[in-house]
Parts: sequence; structure tokens; C-alpha cells
Amino acid sequence: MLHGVSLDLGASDPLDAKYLGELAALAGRFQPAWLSDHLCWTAHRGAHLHDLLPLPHTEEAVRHVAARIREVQERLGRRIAIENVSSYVRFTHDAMSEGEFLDAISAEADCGILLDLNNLFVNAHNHGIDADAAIAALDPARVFQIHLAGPSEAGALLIDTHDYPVRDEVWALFERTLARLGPVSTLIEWDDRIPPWERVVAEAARAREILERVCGAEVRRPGTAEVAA
Amino acid sequence: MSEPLTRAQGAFAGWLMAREDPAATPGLFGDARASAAERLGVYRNAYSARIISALGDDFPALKRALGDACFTALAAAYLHANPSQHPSLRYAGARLPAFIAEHAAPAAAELRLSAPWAADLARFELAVTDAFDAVDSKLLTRADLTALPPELWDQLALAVVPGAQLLTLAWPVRAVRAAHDAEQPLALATLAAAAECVFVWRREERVMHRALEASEATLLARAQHGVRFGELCALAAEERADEAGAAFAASVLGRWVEDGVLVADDR
Repeated sequence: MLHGVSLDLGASDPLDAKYLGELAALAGRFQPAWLSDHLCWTAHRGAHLHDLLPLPHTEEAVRHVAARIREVQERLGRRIAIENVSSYVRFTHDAMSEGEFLDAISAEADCGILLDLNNLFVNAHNHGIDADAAIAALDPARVFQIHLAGPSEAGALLIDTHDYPVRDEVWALFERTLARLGPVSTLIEWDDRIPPWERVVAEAARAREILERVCGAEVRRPGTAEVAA
Repeated sequence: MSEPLTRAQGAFAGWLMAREDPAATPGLFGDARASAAERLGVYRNAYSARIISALGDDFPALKRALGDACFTALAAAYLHANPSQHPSLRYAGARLPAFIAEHAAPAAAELRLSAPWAADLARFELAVTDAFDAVDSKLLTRADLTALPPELWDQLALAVVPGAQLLTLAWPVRAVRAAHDAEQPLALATLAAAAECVFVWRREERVMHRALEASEATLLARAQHGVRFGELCALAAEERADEAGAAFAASVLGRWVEDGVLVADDR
């Protein structure tokens, strides 16, 4: 899979044609099963801010972002998936919930969803949103992949830093999510303070155990996927 | 384009890039858990911290030579004057050497007095980064030269590997970076101005650098724009002002091929 941070799907600058062309070439070369980026904006008037910045949950933003996702999908000749991001601010003119926002954009753009459960958990903590309600708002057929990770604390807020173990509350949310969505490919993210290999493997084994228990199916291991003849 | 969204993002971007906390943050929601200013502060802190950290990774000897506090002040002033213009953080430091050398900001102007070698060290470290991730290319080999019929030598097209740079430096800053890489003291107190022409390039996975004499640098500068061997010989004869021009061109060609500096140019 190819997972990016710079498509800038939510920005008001025009899409970066050079970046898009390079991404199309890369995707053509590697033929990833999924291609994903984030539901956010990262640059304004040519200044790159190098962060996954939040969008207001408005009809205007839904139309704007969905049109840009369609443009990207046409350029790439394939569907992409968008990931919900952690956020630390909310906007006074938000007109819909996080789940409604994600669902509306994915439906209008006809794209997939990369569902980051840690980000939903972080937003539940930071903003008091209902993570289960957000998941219930989504079309299960659109969820391509799940991300899990561990946040850090900064005062009263949780920050999405990918440098702690997956929290128990997120494991519990993962179980409830699978019960609703069925088996979904799952990735655990570590960006920093990476623990010994045994602990990384143990987290993956825990995710696999939950997938098998909740979904009642044997989960395919990496490297054993069938290849079309 | 949706105007309210554009305006809101313009305001938000302005808050992130401003050096002072904004007096007001209309449109942002605060609550009992955290005020709007505290919430915006997460993004404001992350913006400068993330880019300054990336600059420290790209200019490690400069950071160590200046010390954390001085480097952070320099990087913050640089970022304020030069917001990142590329989707990748990799290029955020592209204008740092010029900022140190030329900008009127106190952080740069004072550095030119207290650490006059700093701009050269930044130029050298940027060249190391640029050479490191330049695209691979097919090198010109000694076997290619051996296989070339004598009558075609004049027409042999030469080009330099991508990402290679020729620098004219006033300070021997390569020693500072080398000491940093070897985890040795930087010996800045005894650093004395000494001009040198330095060539930086990548060979397989190692960034190489060496000092050049002026005449070789002139030839290499020409080769960087693509040159035929016959032209190189003519230029070498001018440089040497004697009849040994062809021999000099042949000797530098041999050295460049051995060093993996040239690519097969099929023009």
C-alpha cells in the first residue's frame, strides 16, 4: 500500500499537479493494493505547514474535499482511501458530527475510508465526540483498512504521536468496530520510541487474535496473500 | 473555490506561522478541557518544532557547532523568513545557507560576526544531503573508454552524476563535519579561514568529497553542464597555457572515471 501525507485534499490551493504526477508514476510502478492519504489540509498559498490540519465539519467542506478527491481519483485512475485525523481544535461553525462528515465525503467522492481508531479515540478524549457513533455512521463497505496506534499526553489533551502502545480503550473500540464491520485489514503504527521487536510482534498478535475471535475467520498472514495467476 | 474555507485556512495558517501568540482566534472552539488558545498552541508548537527538528537532522554539524539554543534561534528566524515551499520536509533547509550568508535578520547578521564559517558549513551540509538522495545513474567506466575507437574520443560526451556540486568555500568546514561524523571535538577555536574548491558527489551509498585545484575545478564546472572530450582538451590547454592540455584533460578524465563522477552521456 502507499500511504501519503501531502495530497492536501482539504486545502484551498489547487491540487499540486507535479506531486500528483509523481504519485501516479509511483502507483503505476508499484501497483499498491491501496493508496491512501489524510482528510485534512497541509498547505496554504504555497506555504507547507507539514501537519495534518483539521477541517470544519460543514457542507461547504464536504463539497470542496469530495470534488478534490474525485479529481485525484480521475488523475490516478483508481479509488483512494481517506484517513480520519486526530485534532486538537474544533470550529464554532461545525454543522455535523465527525462520523457524518467522513461518511458524507466518502459517499460524495465514492472513495474508501482508512479508519484510524486511535484518532477517533483521541478526538473522543479531546472533544468529547462519541467514537462508536462515528463508526456507526460509516458505510462498512467503504472501510479498506484500520489503523491502531498509541497517543501521548500534553496537559489535558491527547496528541497523536504514534510513540506509545495501543491503549486498552482502543483495543476495546477495535473489537466493537470489527463486530460491526467484519474483518478489515489492520495496521499498527509506531513512529518513535519504538519498543523491542517482541513487543511490536505481541501487539500484532493481539490484533490478529481479536480479528479471529470477533470475525470467526482465520486471518491471512502477511506474505501468504494469494496472487492472481 | 470556496471562499469561507479559504479565508479560514488563511487565518489558521497565519496563526501557525506568526511568532507571537494571536490576540484572538475567532472561529475556534474552547471548552473546560482546554481553551481555544491552548488547543491552537498544540499546532503552533508542532509547526516550528517539527521543521526545526528536521533542519537539525539536515545540518547536524552546524547544530552541534552553534549549540542547541543558538541553532534553534537561527532556525526559527529562518523559518519565519522562509516558510517551507515543498510537500516534503526534506527541502525545508534549501535556503538556509543563503539566509545565513545574506539575510538582515539579527539571528543571521550576528552569526556572520560570531561564527563566520557558519554559512559555508551550511552550504557543505546541504550539498551532502543533495548528493545523498540524488537519482542513481549509469556510470562511465574505464571499460567504456577502452572500448572507444581513438577517432571517436573527441566526440565522447561527458556528464557529471546527478546531485553533485562544486563549492567554493572560504573556510575548511569539511573538517568540522568530519569531526562531527566521527564523534570527535569540532575544534572550532582553531578553525582558520582557508579558501578551497570542494567537489561533493555520491558513489553508491556514500557521499564523497574532495578538494580540487582551480584548473581541475574549471574543467569539472564545464563538465557539469555536459561537454565533449575534445572541448575539454581545448579548455585544458587554455588553463595550462601550454601543450600539456590534452594530457591534463586525460589525467582528470581518468581520475573522474575512477572516482565514479561521470555518467555515460548519450547525446
